[in-house]
Amino acid sequence: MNWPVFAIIAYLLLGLERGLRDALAIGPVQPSFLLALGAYIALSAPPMHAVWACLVLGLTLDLTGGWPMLAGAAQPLIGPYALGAVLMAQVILTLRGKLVRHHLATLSVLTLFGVIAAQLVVVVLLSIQKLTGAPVAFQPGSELLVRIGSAAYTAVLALPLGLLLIAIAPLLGFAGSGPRPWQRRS
Amino acid sequence: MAGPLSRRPSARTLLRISLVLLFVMAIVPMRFTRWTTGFADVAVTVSAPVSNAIRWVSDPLTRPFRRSADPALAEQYLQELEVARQRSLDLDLKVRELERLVFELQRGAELTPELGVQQVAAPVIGRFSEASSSALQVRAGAGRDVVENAVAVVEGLQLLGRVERVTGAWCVVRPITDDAAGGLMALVMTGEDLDSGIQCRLEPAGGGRLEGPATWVFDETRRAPVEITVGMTVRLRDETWPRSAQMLIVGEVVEVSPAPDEPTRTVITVAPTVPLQRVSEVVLRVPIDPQEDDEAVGAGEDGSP
Repeated sequence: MNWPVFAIIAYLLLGLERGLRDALAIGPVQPSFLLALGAYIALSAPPMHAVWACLVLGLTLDLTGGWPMLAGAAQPLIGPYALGAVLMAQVILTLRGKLVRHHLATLSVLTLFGVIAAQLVVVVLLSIQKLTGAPVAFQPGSELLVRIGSAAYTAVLALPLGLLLIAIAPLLGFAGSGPRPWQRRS
Repeated sequence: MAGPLSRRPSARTLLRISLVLLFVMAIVPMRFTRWTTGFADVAVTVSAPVSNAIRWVSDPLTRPFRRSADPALAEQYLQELEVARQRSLDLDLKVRELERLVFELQRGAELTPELGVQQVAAPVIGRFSEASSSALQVRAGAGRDVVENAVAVVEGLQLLGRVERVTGAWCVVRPITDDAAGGLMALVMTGEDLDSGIQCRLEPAGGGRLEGPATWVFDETRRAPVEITVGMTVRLRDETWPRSAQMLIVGEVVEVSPAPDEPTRTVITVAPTVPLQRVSEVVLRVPIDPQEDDEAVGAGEDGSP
């Protein structure tokens, strides 16, 4: 995997994630460009590269996110998205061998399952924080529903984003191994 | 061959260590991870150029498609605003209460700064209302160094009474207006200095008041007896009370009348500046060295009646 290219793409998608957040939001449901990229990497890269890449993307989400507090400014929490993204990578790595890997629909479906797994980790860890007395404005029940909606939205977003990523797959070093929407499985 | 490179941890080991660290950081209370805010600020700053550029491009394009504000969401925001406003007012109230407490503690300290007393503010948690007694149960006991005979005041300078009994968590304060409190010696302040005080002996008279005869004093310069009038302040001057209680306010003269058996003398009625039976918080003036506080009265200047 070509890490410098990955870093540039991740940086651009981080800009899209933050820049288009309000424009693409449907109520509280928002898609995640970075998790969609993570899903694509997990589907295409060697296992260890996939896990590390997802960890870095999750860490980026943790750092740029910030959790709203009941009183005072939002505070970042390092860990929930990073660990969630690692679990997402593991889920996709486990499933990718059993599915038609070289297909855009596969990317979308695996993105759905992977992001749901990641969001579950986020909700569980934030719930632990809330139970231990952190003044975070977080309602586990409603938050889980919103995040499942976000996972579905991200899975839809993975379709057009996947087309772009597949187009630049050779730059990422995935030539011949990633999803190919126009080809039948060989 | 085992070289330096072979001793470096593998990617898998590094990953395991990273995951453990991330898990610890994710579950450790957020107050311990505030230092990560600096890293987050850097990350947001680094991503700002591209995200701002994308927002700048996308805002005009998406504006026509944006829905107007959801009424339910607006209602929710209004409710949250109301909750925040109520919380803000509640905090204001607490701040004012604390400011008042600080003011009272400072006023008490200014009166007798040289005395070795610590002031313990405590709420009144109960009243022992028997037929002839209305002692107060105050939530400060031996655990907060309260001792018997410590002086209780309210609003900084108004004498409330003395601590009669102490337990580990609370104590009993007997107000000076209580029938069982006994009498006390005091000075009616006809002027600003100590010499202008007219001695009197006050006894509880019921209804939260004190009553007793005042000494007859003749003013040599005016060639006339000094008169006591309604509204004059009465301060404690009694050797049987601790040094830290001397000159605290007993109350104000509310009535002056001639003594029934001796018309040349006057009997005064004194009312505390606040109703002592209804106070909700008191300040206990606990001597740092109780023995010294008691001895100081006897060693003081002769102000006994």
